[in-house]
Amino acid sequence: MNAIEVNNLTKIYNPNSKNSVTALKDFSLSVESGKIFGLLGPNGAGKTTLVKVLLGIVFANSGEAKILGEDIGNYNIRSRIGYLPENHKFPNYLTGEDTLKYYAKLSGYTNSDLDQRINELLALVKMNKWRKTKVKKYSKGMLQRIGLAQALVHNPDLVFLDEPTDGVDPIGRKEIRDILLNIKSEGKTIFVNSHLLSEVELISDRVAILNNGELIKEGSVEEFTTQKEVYEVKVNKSFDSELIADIMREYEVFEIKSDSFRIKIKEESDLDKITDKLREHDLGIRNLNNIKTSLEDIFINLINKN
Amino acid sequence: MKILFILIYKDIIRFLKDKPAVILTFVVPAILIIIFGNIFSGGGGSRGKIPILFVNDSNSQIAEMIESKLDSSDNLRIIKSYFDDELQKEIKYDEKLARNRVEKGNYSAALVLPIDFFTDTSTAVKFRILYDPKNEIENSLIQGSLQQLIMSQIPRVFPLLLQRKFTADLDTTEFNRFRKGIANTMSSAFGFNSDSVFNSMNPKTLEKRLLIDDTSSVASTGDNMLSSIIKFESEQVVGEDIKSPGVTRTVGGWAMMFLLFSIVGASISLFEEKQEGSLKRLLCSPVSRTQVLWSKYIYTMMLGVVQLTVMFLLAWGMFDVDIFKNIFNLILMILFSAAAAVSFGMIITAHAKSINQANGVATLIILVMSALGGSWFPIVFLPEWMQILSKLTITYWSVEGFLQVLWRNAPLIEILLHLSILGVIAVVVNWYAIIKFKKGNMI
Repeated sequence: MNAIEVNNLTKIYNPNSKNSVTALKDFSLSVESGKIFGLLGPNGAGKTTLVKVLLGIVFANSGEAKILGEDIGNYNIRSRIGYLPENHKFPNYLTGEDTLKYYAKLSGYTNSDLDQRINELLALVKMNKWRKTKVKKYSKGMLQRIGLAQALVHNPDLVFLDEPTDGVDPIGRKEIRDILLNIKSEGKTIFVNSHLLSEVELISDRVAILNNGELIKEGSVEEFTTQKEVYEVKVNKSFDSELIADIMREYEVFEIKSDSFRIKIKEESDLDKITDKLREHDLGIRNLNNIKTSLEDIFINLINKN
Repeated sequence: MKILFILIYKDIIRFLKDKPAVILTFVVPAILIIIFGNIFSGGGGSRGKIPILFVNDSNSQIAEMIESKLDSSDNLRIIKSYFDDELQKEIKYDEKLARNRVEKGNYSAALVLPIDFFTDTSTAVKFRILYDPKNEIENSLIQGSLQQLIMSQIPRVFPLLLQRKFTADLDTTEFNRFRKGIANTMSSAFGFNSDSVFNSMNPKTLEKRLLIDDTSSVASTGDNMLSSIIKFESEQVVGEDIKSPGVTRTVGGWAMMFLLFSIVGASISLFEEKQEGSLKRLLCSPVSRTQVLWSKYIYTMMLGVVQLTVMFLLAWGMFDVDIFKNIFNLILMILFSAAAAVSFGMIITAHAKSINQANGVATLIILVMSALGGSWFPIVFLPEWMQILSKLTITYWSVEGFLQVLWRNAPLIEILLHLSILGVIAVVVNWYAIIKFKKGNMI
């Protein structure tokens, strides 16, 4: 089952004005339940607009979207959704504990175990010590932690996180990543909107790249980062230039070292042909690896091409 | 030096980019100067005349002259009749009807020249002013203008009245002896013909002379002498029992102005919530937009009601304004005024694009509404076109309504119009704000 389904969504700001801006263009996407989904894109790509439309903060001009099987127009479904906005601020007269209580009640959490739930969450985000401190005294990292706790306080099935590790130190980031993986293990769906590609790469099951309101690419992190056509070949002894010249007649070869090189193939059967050529030159294969690139490299390439 | 210019230029650009600052610096003072200028300069001759009722039951020619002078008064607009829709004709006001209209607050004063204003046997002229001092400045102006106008006409009948007074006090023989004595004295002292002086004091001759429009010969006659033969009867028909008339008259206007300021502040807190991000979080909670807006509306309304209540309680506690004698209607006026004021806050919030813009525009409109609506001074001092504009303001209907309740102790029926207009403003504007908010245009 899909936690989020978006079909042909279009959002234009100020549609009747000269300064109209198309934030989403016939955009479609689906997010599987129980997964962590990362939405990537440069500034102004339409990421925040998509989240705003899904959460009912702004309305789309056309298209439809469903969350947890319900139309996004049904605001009752939001009791099953957690949200950590970007650059959020909470009412500054509240303490951390009060903030969690306020948002739990606002989200319709009526269970009698609210105090216990708050205790658990404050322990989870390591904010127990500051629970009685007013949020106006919190640092950015602390605000982010309490923000994450409020997004989870009513035990939602789907959590939207907008830049969840923004302003958090590296240790804190690791802790947040662990929390998210833990939530995922409970069968919850997490939708992460972030600029920190390395963070997204580390936790996401699937990723989508958005640019100028359009979906450029969507797939698993594995699919994104694995270049199926590029292999690194390591041989058991140094080879001569004649071998390379021979291979280069048919394939693109690069990063050539004394006992290794990278090669771009067209199809998997090419690997057998290359192995044969190496044997012809009396060389044995010590290692043959499919090359992976970082999500960041892929992202930059895709955006530049787009 | 160049650096100095660069820095000054930067400040100028910064100021010009700050639209609310520009509005508050230039537009607000300019508009207030226009309003005050129109009041104190007479608006280039277009200043509104204060309407008063005029009832002339006398048949005397002097009454006609006074009526004619009143018709051309610079300060007063004389209303003598009204059009009866049922009878389809103009009906002249009589004293009873005029009194009723003043009591109801339709007019601030009525000048009555009674049937015995000036008769063949009068030894004094009689006037009656029925007035409602709901506004002190307006009342002073009306009374002052009337007295000045009447006093300027009275000297012409002064000798006749004096003669009649003597006739009434002395018998004819004694009066003729008096005339003879005067004639002889003037003849011996100044060489006048004693017969012509004697005849000039004949009542018939005096009556002919008073119809000649020349008051210069007797205009210098002292007011003290006149007061003995002019019966100027002023009757306050409304508010005589009010303990603290000054505060009772003004509390509604000031309360309304400050209410608008606080209500706008509370309404545009939506912008603050938007800026701090809590609105976004709120909107993605299982809460409908209508609930969000209504919560804001009810909170602001409560604030407005509490504020108005505190202000009226202060007026009661400190200045003895009797707020309890018409408490039900006062509560209604408080509720409807607060509702209309909140709708004003909502429409500002619905249209402004930022908190600064909302504050700037709201300050401008509140000050203009207060000036035009009667919070600061009676609207009768405004030019007529501004008086029409004043009826488009919330302040006007609230201030007039509070005045009806506190000053006139008006029954519900007499404030229904005020309540209806405030209610309609509240409903229509809030309905519009809800539509805008539901469409997402306020986010």
